[in-house]
Amino acid sequence: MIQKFFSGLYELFLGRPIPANFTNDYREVVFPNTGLMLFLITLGIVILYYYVLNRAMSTGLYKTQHWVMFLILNAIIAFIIPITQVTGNEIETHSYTYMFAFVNVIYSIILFFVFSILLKRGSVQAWTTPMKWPNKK
Amino acid sequence: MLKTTFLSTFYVVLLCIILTLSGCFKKQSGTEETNPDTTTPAQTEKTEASAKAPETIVPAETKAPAKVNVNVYLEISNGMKGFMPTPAAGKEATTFQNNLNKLLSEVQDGRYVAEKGFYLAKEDAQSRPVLDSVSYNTIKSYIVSGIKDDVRGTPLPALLKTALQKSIEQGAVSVIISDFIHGPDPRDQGQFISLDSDIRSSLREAEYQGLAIAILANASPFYGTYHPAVKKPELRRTLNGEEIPYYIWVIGKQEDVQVVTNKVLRNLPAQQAYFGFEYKSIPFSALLKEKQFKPTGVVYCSSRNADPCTSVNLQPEKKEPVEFTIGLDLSQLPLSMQSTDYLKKNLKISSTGSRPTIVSVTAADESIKSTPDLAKYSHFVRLRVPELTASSGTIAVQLPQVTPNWITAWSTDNDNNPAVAPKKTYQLTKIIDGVQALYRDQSDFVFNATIQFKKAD
Repeated sequence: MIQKFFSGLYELFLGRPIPANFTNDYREVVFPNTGLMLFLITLGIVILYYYVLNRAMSTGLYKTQHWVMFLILNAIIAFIIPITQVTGNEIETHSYTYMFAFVNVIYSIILFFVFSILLKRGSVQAWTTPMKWPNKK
Repeated sequence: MLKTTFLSTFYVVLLCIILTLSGCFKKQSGTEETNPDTTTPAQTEKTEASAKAPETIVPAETKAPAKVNVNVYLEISNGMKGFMPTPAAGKEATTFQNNLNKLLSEVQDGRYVAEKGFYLAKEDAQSRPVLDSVSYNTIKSYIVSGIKDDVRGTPLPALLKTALQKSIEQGAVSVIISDFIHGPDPRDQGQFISLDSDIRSSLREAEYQGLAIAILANASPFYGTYHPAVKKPELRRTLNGEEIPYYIWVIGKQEDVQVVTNKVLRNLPAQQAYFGFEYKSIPFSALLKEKQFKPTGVVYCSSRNADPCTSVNLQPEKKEPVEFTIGLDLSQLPLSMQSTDYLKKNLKISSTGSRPTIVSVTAADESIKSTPDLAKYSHFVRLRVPELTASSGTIAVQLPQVTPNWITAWSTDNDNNPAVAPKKTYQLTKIIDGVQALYRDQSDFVFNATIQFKKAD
């Protein structure tokens, strides 16, 4: 179920895994692992930004440029994870691998933004970062 | 109030993240277990255990017995005398004498033979076969110094039957050495007509007991009186070094016969024929991730870590037909069947739901033998699947039971003049037909390696 979901998510843009003989490794291990890690790490970093740095501690990192820094940090992690997953499972690297990493970066940016919108209202200093919407006060 | 609930939920979420993340990383490190530097002792034990596992699923039939009982039957009719001329200074031993000497000493002293028996096969006055149990030295003296007895003919079917009966009683492999020139009673020449069915009847015990037969043919210079089966124009001829065929028949359980042919007889002649050999489960696997045998097109093993992989998903495209390699362990097969030339000529591929062809057949070379994952396979068959005709089906690589070509080449309807047509035996094809009739009900294939396939999604 989770395997199907993540395989579908990545293959939507990437098509069938190449080289084809590693299809199962991608579908059963690499896609679900990468997808789950993307989800959890993004969530973790968003929580770190809004609830640790800008609520529990008052670090002053509430500006949009700080938010963008964390978004880029998350994107870098999202680029590295697919590549370590592919090489860690002894799969031949291919341009497909880097396309996959790139797609994962796109997803990480979207997800980071979505989590920010959902969670920023609980932050004390950064509830308007990156913008005020949809919160009202 | 609101603040504290937020804080507590935050801690719970953080805890969850840490737990799941660590789980994720653990999974990843599991795949690195194969790296020898990072393995802890516990992990090495694990990999050792998994490495041993495949050995336990080796089918019982491939385990060759260490030792077998062997009975050697040497036919000593007058027709055999020319193979074993009396020695004289400056006269070379015949091929027959050389080979038989080696064979006998290997049976006598070799470490693959447990119990052994040596028999001289002849006939009595009523042309009934008689088997004389003799010592190693006696049979050896027959080979090196010639046959002194006067034995008229060879009632071939009766000889085979008695020899086989004796071996079955003693649980031994029969090794029967004869020129296989049928010499029935002169009053009963009709036996030539029914030679095939007589051979079949004489060997029916072999069929009942599930025994296999290996026939090895060789030719040897012949010095002396030659008794052809066809008595016209000459009743007998005196030959001086013309080559006459002789045969070694090995009859016994498949695995015992193989011990005898591969380890006792060893240097087998090029002319070999095997009957009743069948391998129910030879080890094989589709090789999809090996660097030496990269597949092309969309093909992958149906299950990720299957070893061996016997089920694949594939999807050939017009532009890119699927090609992949199957590794087979044919090391248990008779040696002549292991030659790539033989396999190239005879391997068949059949399929339901696709139209595959064989691209190449190769034997394992040194670099493959040193690759641990590939060392267990002796041969590699590359297949091409240009299209599917159904969404699932099977692809089978099969070796049919075929009668070797040399049998027709070595057979003749008139053996009267071997000087003109050397290396021919009267009605050999008919004799072989009789042998083949024993195994009519058996599978048409020596082995059958079937791979399931599904259309890739």
